[in-house]
Amino acid sequence: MELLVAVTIGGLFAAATFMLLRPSSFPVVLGTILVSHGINLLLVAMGRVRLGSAPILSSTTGPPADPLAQALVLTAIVISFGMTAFLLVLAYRGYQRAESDSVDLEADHG
Amino acid sequence: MRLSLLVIPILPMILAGLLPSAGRLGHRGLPLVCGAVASVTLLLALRVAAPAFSGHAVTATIPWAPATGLNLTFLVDGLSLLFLLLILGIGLLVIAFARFYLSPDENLPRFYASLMLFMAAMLGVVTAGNLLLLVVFWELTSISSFLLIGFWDRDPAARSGAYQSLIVTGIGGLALLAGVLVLGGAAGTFDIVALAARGAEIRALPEMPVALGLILVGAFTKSAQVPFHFWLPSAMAAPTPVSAYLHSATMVKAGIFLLARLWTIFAATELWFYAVTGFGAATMLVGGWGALRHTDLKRLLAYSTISQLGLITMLYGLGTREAALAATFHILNHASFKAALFMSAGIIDHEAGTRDFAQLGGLRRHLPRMTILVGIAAASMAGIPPLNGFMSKELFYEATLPAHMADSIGASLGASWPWLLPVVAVLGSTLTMAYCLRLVIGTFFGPEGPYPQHPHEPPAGMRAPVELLATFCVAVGFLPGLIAEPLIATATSAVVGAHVHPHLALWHGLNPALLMTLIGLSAGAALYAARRGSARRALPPRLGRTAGELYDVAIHGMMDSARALTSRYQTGRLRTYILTILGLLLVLAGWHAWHASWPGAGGAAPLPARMPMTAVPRGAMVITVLTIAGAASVCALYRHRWPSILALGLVGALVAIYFAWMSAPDLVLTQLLVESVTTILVVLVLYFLPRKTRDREPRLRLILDGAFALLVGVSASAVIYAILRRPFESISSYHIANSLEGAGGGNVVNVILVDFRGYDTLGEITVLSIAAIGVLALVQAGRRTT
Repeated sequence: MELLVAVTIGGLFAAATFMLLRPSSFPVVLGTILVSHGINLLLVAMGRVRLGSAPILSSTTGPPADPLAQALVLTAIVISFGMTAFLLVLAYRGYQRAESDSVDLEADHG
Repeated sequence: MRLSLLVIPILPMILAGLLPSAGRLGHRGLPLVCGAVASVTLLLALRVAAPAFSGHAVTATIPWAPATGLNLTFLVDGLSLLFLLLILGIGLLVIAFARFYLSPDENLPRFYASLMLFMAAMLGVVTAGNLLLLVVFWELTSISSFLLIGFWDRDPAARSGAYQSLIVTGIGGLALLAGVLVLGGAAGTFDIVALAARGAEIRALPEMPVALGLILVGAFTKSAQVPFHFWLPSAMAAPTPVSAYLHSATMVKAGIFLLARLWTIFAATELWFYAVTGFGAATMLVGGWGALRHTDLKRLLAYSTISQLGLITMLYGLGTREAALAATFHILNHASFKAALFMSAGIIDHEAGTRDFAQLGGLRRHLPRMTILVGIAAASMAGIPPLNGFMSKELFYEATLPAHMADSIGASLGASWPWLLPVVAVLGSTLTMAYCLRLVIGTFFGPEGPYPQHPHEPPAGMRAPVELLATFCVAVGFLPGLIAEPLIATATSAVVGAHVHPHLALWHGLNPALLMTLIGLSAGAALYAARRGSARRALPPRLGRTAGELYDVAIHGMMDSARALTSRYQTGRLRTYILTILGLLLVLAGWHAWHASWPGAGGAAPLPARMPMTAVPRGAMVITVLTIAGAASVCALYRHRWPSILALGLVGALVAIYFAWMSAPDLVLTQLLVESVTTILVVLVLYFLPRKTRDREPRLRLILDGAFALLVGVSASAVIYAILRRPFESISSYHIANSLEGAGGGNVVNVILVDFRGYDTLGEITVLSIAAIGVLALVQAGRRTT
């Protein structure tokens, strides 16, 4: 399972990197959403992969999964939502003002 | 009694804080209030400092940060007393002069506020009993002087002059701070009285040369010593009252004050003797030469100030009591005649409309009284009897004679080159005499110049301060024992740390000093006569490349290289930033991986043994493939809005399944909820964005970006896999153990969020609120513009 998790996160990172390198705003926003997914997954995984042992006391027999990593990621998911919302509106305003959806200072996409 | 010591610097500072909102006092009321406060401070200072006259220093201490040795210690001794009288006395005259000099249309509240701030800072410097406190006030004088020099802020010369003085004295202030820290760290105290009591011990410290060198840089920058002298002529863009106050009587004397303060500690070292005497002598000659070169009246005065400051510095460097006496006496004399000269320059500028020698000359017919006043002050500067400047010049000559250095640190120099210092002294006086003649003759005699406006005598109030100062010059000359001797005696005693009984007199008999005076005066007159007419036309050649030009080159070079460097890496392109950050990360990760995987290569610590793999749940393979395919199709379809949003939503839902596998039910719920809201939001905003991304990128770039992205992904996978297989001791065992008992909750994740790490949640809420406010602001701004 560790291998599958690592490959998934890597796949998310690869896609996000490609999208972040695009010159217009929409794909860059999609890229940040993808990178958030990858990082959230990564943070939970740092508590190590443990199947069927949710950190809810009295429901598990064995040692529970790391609750701290999960708590941090729960916060992170909400915060990445806030960031996505802000980026989206920023992209919208940028397009409205500059009549272009470029993310760069220069008008040309070179 | 003791507390009133603290009030001395604080009183003008409070006024400085109030003045900016006191504009309705008007151009008559403002100087009146400032003068009243300065007078009260002066009376207070005289009352507090009464014991200092009889040689007893007055101190007061309030602990500030005692652990670091920083205390609000104030010390008033004879030296402080001399400077207190100078700062407040000349300050009062300058306020009176400014009342008539400045036009009522100027921003007067700002001017007087800066002036009082400067006065407070200067009073703080001379009454500070702790070196760190002295540095604080020292920096405050730099800042207030910046404000005053740049007072006419529409004038580019004023702005650049203000910057220059701030940068030069600011660098010196840093050096001073470093030197004080080294000194205080080595000696164990910053208290000036305590340091002075342990002079011999401090001179033997190994850190002494470093500390002294840095402190001297601070003193030399402030007192415009070579090679830092160039800021003073640039500062002449200041209004004339400022020049008269800061650049003759007070601020440029702060460096010299510091030399006098530390005299007992350091004057008996070779470093002090050679550095202070040497730089002082060089400054005296360079300043004198410069005063012959410039055609602007104020610039001439600025260079003459540099020269006179060099003279005083040189005297403190000699390290004998006679020299210290001459230096202390000359501080008083220079302040009186130079302030008078600066104010006169202001009056001439005011009346004739120019300060340029090319347009001046023959003013004695229009300004007969000013001719006499400037004549007296210039004669005092040149050292012509029977004026006060003559007496301190005589003492100066005497101090340079080898006979007077016999049992001091300079004895060996006096023995091997007995003629060196006397010749330098006479040379300095020759230049002084020449530029004094040039000043008086070039302004008041000769043919009349093409004045821009018709000159007439200034209002009496404007001339009164000059008259007072000129009278002082004459009075000290005739009655030195009555007027100057007690003050100079107590100040010099405080400098050298022993009782000094000077006998100031005009006639000392036929001695070498008188001979040197005569040589200096006649050589100066001859030099001026030889260059007669040069006041208007030919100027003496320049001496190499000046320090001021080097300063310009250094500043411009720094700005240009900073701009070039910034434009190189701050391209404004997201692409460059992402490539730089991720590329660097790849290099670092690769370097570490290489070291870790080849034990011989770097000798890294061996990694812990791998854990067994966790079993793969049913369908995990399919979900992985689907997730990656979904992410890939986002990349492939991003030009088409709806398909890419669908693919993105799919990826978000699949990530939730991973959370389920990793035993995180709370995350599954949150992820699904947030994913739906995100999708709705994206769809909403998409309505406003262009339907398609139009630009076509070159195929090669897409391929290269894809390859780079793959490299990032594969590297991330490798690192993550390597980490996941290794054991890890989490700190969350504490949370699991205390969740039920301590917080009464079985769901440990929830307990952490609301209890153990409740502040994280508060932070999360704050971030969301900020994001919401940002979104709202952006949307509303858009509504206004459209």
